[in-house]
Amino acid sequence: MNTLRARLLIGSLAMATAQLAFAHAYPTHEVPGAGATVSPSPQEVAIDFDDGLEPAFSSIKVTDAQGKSVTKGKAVVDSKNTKHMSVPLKVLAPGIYTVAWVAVATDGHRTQGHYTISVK
Amino acid sequence: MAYASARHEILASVGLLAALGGTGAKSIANSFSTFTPTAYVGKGFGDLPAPLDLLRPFAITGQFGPNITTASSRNGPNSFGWAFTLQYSIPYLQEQVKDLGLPQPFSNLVPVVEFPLSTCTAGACSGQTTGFIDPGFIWLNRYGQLGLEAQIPVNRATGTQVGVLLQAHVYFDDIFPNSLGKPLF
Repeated sequence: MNTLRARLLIGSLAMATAQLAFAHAYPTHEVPGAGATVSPSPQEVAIDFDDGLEPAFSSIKVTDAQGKSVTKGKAVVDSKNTKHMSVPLKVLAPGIYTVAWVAVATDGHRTQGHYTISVK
Repeated sequence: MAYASARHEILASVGLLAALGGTGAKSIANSFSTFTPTAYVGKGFGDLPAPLDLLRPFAITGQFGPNITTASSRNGPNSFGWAFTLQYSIPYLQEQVKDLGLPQPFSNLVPVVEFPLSTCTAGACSGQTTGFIDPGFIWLNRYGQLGLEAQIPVNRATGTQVGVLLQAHVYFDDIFPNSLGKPLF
């Protein structure tokens, strides 16, 4: 293999490796979306992230205006798609709710965030 | 890192910048070295109350420190460096305030204005401030960021022509977490 071909191969491998790299996990899609007003009461909150998550350390909590939890159980990371996390909800009365997420990516980096949704 | 509060989106740290003289192209490089013990501070406004939701994606940063040179006051006077940025994060807006459904590349943009300034503290230029106003934007994803800014002199002492800054950051800790991007300690 000549030098130029070897360099091109190394370069292409580097690019390919970059696609498989791990990183901080940030949301790419939230349902309901940040600041959304929904009706009727949603059955779950689901968030897609841009990196795979560690299920044991990642979570979604949803609370009402008084800080009381309105979820039915713990958040679950989809075993077939570890970028997807969701939590089932109780039936929500009209009002404003806060979604607080913690995402620990498979490389150990931790990110967090929060947003509100309104139920009509 | 000196202080961090995730709840109030505050970060403060200290560091040391060193520009080593006699390195690089002789046409633009200094013959003397400059050392700058630096304080960094950043504040996001995610803790603003609900009525001010649309202001939550704003953030400000500051960077301060004396530029101590190894040259004489005549050839390389000391100065005090002070810089600010004002930023508005579209990713933060869409993820944590209001999802407007903005498509790429707009959803990954952070409009920013930077104010890098320096005040001479010795020699003939003592008391004189020079610097720039740099409006522009940063586009970022999980692997890095690209930035493009105009560079506008704040006064005649700085210059009279507008320049352009292009920035590319590659996040080695995210691309190569087990090799190049691994922490040293």
